[in-house]
Amino acid sequence: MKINREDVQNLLQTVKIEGSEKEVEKIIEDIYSLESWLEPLFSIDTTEVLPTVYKYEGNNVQREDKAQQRKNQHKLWEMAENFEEGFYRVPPIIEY
Amino acid sequence: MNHNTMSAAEAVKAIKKKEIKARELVENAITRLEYTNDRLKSLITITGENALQQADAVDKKVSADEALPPLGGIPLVIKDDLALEGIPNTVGTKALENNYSPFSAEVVQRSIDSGGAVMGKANMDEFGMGATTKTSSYFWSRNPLDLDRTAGEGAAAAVSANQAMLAIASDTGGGLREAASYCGIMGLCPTPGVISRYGLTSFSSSLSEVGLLARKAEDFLLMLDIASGYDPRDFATSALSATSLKDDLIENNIITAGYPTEIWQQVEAPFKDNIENNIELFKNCNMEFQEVSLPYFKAGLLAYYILVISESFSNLSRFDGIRYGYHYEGANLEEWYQKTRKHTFGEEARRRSFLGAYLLNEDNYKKYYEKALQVWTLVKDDFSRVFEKCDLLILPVTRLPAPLLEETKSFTENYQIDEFCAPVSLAGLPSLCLPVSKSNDLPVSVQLVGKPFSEKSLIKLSMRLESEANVSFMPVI
Repeated sequence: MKINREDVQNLLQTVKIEGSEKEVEKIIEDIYSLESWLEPLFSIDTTEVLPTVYKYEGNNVQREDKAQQRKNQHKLWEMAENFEEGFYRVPPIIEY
Repeated sequence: MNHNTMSAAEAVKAIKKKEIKARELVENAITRLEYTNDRLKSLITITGENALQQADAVDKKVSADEALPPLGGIPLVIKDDLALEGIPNTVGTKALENNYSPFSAEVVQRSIDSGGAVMGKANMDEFGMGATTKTSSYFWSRNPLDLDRTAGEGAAAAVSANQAMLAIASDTGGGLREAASYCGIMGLCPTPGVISRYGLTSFSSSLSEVGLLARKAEDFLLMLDIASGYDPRDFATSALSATSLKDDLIENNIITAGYPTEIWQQVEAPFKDNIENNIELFKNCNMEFQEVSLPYFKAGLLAYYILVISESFSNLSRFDGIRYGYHYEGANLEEWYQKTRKHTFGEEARRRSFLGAYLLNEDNYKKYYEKALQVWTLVKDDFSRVFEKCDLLILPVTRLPAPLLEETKSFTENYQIDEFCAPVSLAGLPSLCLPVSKSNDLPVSVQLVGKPFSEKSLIKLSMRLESEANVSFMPVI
């Protein structure tokens, strides 16, 4: 598939990573390299093959549905630079 | 008594008999660290003082004739993606440089509660993405057996260089096993669910597991007893405890080892010849090779990379510098995210984010991701068929010895390093790699792959092979 610069700009927006013009070129190059490396996969006939979605054998054992207080919740909050009254303070999201 | 050649199990016995003190062991490890870490760069954070305190507590118990905890005073290191309370958990990335963990990973806490003396946190590829430590935001870890080569993992370098007797490290597609083979030690990647992943920062929630590194096979038995078992904070852990893991294989008169020639043919000559010339070694351990075929093994690597790259994109989305970790200020939230992630992620983490987003977009999801899930089924079926007629499989770990640090490879060539380990991870099988001979003074290792929950069988067979092979490696520093 042909990748254009606009596609890559959309990718940058999705992954939330700033990218220069030079980096956009590099990403296009990397996508083509990956696609070419993965090409042998498409010679395998997977018609009628069910996908694996979970690698663990056996049944899922669920714990009792009971509310629990996390012991280290306060310590986790303290890791943030800006945490106030139960909220993480972030830069403005909406411009007035 | 040479502290550098004894096993952890032997050391615990010696401490119990009051032949040595736990403090001596830890002091010896600290001396080795002081002497070698500047060159090897195996540890990012050193916690020698804590280890000494732990050793003193163990010695106090021994003096008072109290019961010795099972890991009493044994120096161990932890890969830097497993949390240790109060110590930075960098995961090899600048994004988490000052990320002091408020809790310890379950496996780490169990080891400490069992008397383990944690020497420090080991260097690793950024977020675990790589097999050479060259993507680490901190430094490259050198191989104690050849300083021009990679150690693969800081934790493997530490064990190989006698900075510690044991290590706990993650393995997603072979990192732990490859590093063990590069450094001439042993690596065990258990069946998924045997060791809790609570407190592990993984880049692939489906495939990352916690494994062990040791110089002697018997030490895996010691560690598994402590590390394995159900953890309510990791729903994927099995209720099976170490005592119920299977060890019946070793009782067999003949152990049938599946030998896939088509896979061994890919291994470079010195490595392959070394195994073929050592057939006697395996025969002496009651192993009989049986030709088997795994037609989808090669495709397993490609499917594995589609899955882990896709999961990387998803798993790395949490690193935005708001709740924890390093950040760059931005005029608005979008700019904050973009600058933080651009400047704190290394090249490979950025690459996997882009590629993951690409593989999962609307146009590609079916083509790549769904295809990978189907190939995953074929790979698992391959192994299941083989295990109908074999007790275990014998596979290479890597095609070549540890790569030279100055060697430059494309990113897909780096992915190719996992060619013999990643398909085993996909199949969810336990594997243990151990050195069986030497080629130009560098280790030649094999990977024993067992049926699910057959860890103890693999360990006991490895003890036999280890004794028969009688191969050892001396660090060059």
